Amino acid sequence: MRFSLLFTYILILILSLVFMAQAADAVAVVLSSRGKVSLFRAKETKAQDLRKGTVLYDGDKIKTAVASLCNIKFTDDKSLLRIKENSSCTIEAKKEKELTNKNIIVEVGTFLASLVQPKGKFTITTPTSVASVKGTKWWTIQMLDGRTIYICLEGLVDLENSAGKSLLKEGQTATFNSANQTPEIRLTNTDEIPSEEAGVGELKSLEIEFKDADGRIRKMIIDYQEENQN
Amino acid sequence: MGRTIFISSVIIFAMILFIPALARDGVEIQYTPTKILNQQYEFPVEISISNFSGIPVTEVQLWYRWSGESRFKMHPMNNEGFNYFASLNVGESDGHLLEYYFTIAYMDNRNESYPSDAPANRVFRTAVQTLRNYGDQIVIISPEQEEQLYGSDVVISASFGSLISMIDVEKTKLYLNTWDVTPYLQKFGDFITFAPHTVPMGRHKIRLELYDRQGQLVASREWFFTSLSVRGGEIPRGEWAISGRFFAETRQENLGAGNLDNSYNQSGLQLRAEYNNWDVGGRLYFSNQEKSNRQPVNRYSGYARYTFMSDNYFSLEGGDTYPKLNPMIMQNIFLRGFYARLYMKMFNLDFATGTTNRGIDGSYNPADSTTVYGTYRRKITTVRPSFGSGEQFQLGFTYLKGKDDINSINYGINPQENAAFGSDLFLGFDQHRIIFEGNVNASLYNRNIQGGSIPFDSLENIFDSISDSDQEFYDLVNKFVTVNQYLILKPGMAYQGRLLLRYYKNNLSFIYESVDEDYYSLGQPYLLRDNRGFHLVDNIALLQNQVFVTLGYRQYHNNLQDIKSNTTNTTNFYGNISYFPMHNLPELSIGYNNYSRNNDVPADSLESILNRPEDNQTTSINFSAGYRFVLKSLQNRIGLDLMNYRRDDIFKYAQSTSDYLTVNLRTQYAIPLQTLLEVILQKSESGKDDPTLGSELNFTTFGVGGNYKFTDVFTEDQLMLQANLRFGSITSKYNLTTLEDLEYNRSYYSFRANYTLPKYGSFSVMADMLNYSGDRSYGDFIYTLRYDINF
Repeated sequence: MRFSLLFTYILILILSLVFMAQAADAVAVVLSSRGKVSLFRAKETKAQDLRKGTVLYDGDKIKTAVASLCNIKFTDDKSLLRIKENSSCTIEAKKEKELTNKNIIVEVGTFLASLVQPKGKFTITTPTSVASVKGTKWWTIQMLDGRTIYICLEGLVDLENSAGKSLLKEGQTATFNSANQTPEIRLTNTDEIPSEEAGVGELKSLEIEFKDADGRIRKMIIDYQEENQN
Repeated sequence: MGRTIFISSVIIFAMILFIPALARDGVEIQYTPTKILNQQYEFPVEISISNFSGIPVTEVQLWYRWSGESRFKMHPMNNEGFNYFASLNVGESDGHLLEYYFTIAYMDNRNESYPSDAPANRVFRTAVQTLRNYGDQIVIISPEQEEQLYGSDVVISASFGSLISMIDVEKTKLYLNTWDVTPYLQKFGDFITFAPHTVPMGRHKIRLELYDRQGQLVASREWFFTSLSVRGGEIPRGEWAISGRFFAETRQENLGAGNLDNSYNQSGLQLRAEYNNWDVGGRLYFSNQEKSNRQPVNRYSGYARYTFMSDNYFSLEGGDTYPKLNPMIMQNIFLRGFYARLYMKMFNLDFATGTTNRGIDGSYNPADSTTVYGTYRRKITTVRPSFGSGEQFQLGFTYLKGKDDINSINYGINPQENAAFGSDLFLGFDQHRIIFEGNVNASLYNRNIQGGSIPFDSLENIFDSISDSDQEFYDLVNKFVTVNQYLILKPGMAYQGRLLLRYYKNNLSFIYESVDEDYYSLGQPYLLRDNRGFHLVDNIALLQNQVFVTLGYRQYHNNLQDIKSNTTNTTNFYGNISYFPMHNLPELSIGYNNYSRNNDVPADSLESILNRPEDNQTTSINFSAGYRFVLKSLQNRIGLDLMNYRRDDIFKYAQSTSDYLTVNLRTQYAIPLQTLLEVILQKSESGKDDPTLGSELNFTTFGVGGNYKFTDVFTEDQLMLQANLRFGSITSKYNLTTLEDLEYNRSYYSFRANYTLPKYGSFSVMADMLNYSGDRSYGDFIYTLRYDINF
């Protein structure tokens, strides 16, 4: 009996390890991170700072603070996800052989997705809808009031919610007011396209020349990031 | 005596493809052909020459081309003891079958090829599987190719999902410029990342290398990015980047069991410096073999190149140069002088002038009234304007003037003069999937200009019917060459065309060429004259570049001017199939070569007295296999080569068969030890059915070798010890009972010790011993001391 119990524990342990191993697929890498960007590993509540070079796994959650920005690239097909300030999302990514099916579950914020040669599925899921594409570039803006705005810059975006399916074309903007309403689709006003860099203070440098103890002229360079003025 | 020489020549013929082979009297050449070369950038070639002739070897050259190319390229070989070696860079070519042969130059200005009938009739062939272009399956995540980004933003990342079944990710290496950043690499199942804190301003190279479990390179990819400063991305201007190499060597030879002692001392310096758009350098080579009564052995050259407006450039070389202007007019010849090149794509200009032969005087002995003739100094001047970059189009025109300086020596014979004109065209379409290149050339040649031109007045006195137009023609020709009775009146023609088509995994090449017997260019002495024909080759890559098939057919004939009583037709059909598996399975190569010559002269006819009948067919079949395996943590590669050679000839004495087997095992141990075990068996029969000239040769060799590398002996240094031993047993039997059979042993020992201390160079001691015992008995000993430093 004891042996059976022990065997069961071991089996559970092995299965857990296997499960953990399966869940531990590294799927993306952080190319840059500015400002305050937090990473919540799956099943962890404690946040860690997200830095360039950090590898992301299925289930990881990313949160950006004000004047912050984060760029990540998926390793199977170089799909780029730019997460702007005051945003929050969870990355779901399931590997299937050489490709990865990606689903970005958006809570709030502004996201730019850019896909050049996508290999797996790429979808963005918001409280109101799901956007899926193959080879395109578009913004997803999830407002605090619950509305979702999609701005298609290149290609086509399939939009879907419980009310049905819609197709968003280049130069069009779709607004979902709720999960059970079809979107309002109109031509994009160029003023409403988010700036790719806006929301992040620009990097600047300050050069100070001084003489050292030997009388030689030295130069001190201080790189700094400006506060966001937007 | 004559018979002995003849029998010797028959043996030479039978052995010529194999090892060892005899060349000129007293010279023995050993070369084990490599039939398969897999997964390497470099193709190491090593030939062993045992020279008891008393005439030193001055230079050994390796000539090579990829199957389907029209011309061979030359690579000089370096010397160590009995061995001459070279390393060909095969990594950047998409060719699959390499063809090559050797030329050996002696101090008495004699040259010979190996195989002896190369390149016209036979060459060595090696199936080459360079690193497959799996690099294109490496996905660059960041930074993108040629991306410009801030130094603090650099994250290097790449994925390789399609290669995971082939690689051991733990063996992955990453280089940032020359810095090995592997220790800082984060390795995941199918991708890697490296996030340096910052990267200095400037353009940087990333190189990613993926290896399999056996440590073989599976894929590599290089890409570049530019790191900018935050202050505006200004790329720093370069500083002088100087690199170079120096060596000094002394070699002492004790040959023929002490009968001949030679001492060779040589040293060389190569320098290269780059600064912004400038690239300058030079080379010096000094040898104690330099003598005024020999052609130059010392070498000195300097060059400067200035690049402007993207990749346009002007370059100037002085000293010893090897100008390449037109393959049938000026190529593959050493010129001491100047070579200038202006490359502006729309218009380019090549110009070279200098001497190819040093003047070496002969002598006259009044006692017996004999004259030994010397060599005239030969001056060459050539120019080639061309139009087009050569990427899609180039049209060039070449003119060459070569002349022996009759005043350069007192005792000489037949000073020559030559003018050659040529036009060449290159067309490339559809990303070089279609290439056409060709050239048409004409030459004027005077085989003896002693005494200069015959004045036109003298000709008028001899020939009654000379007109004014003849004088114009005389004046015109006289501007280019000396006009006398030795001038070949009809200009010799040479032309060549090549069409290359690369479609549907085929690489089809069709070459047509013709060289008149009277075509001469003193800037290209290596053409096979009186020869016309075509060469069709297809190289096919199948099954994701795992299988390579080569099929080739050549047909040539001579007697182009129809002045010989018979025409010799030569045909050559060859094929090769190689399998280089993607995974660790045996690699295989099977080759077939059939070569035949026929001049339709019956063997028993009267005509055969004047013209030697030729009706022969030579067939060779080879099979090679190699397999890598791990046994008790030792990495091994076992190789097997089988070859059958058969020659059918109208003459019984010239018929021959030969079988050849070699098995070798290379082992890499966990400690830095590599070993080689080798067995070579060869059996040759010549003129088996001929009662007087038939012979049989059996050759058995066992070889063992190893090298061990000690590191950090005293400091960050390295000591490499290497030893190779080969024991051979040779028996020769003759059908003629008056000739005694020979039975002898051949033992070869070589030892190497190399000590390298970074920054201070490396010092080598080498000893080579060759010992014959039995019916042939003598020994040779060579030792060499050498110092090398790269900086």
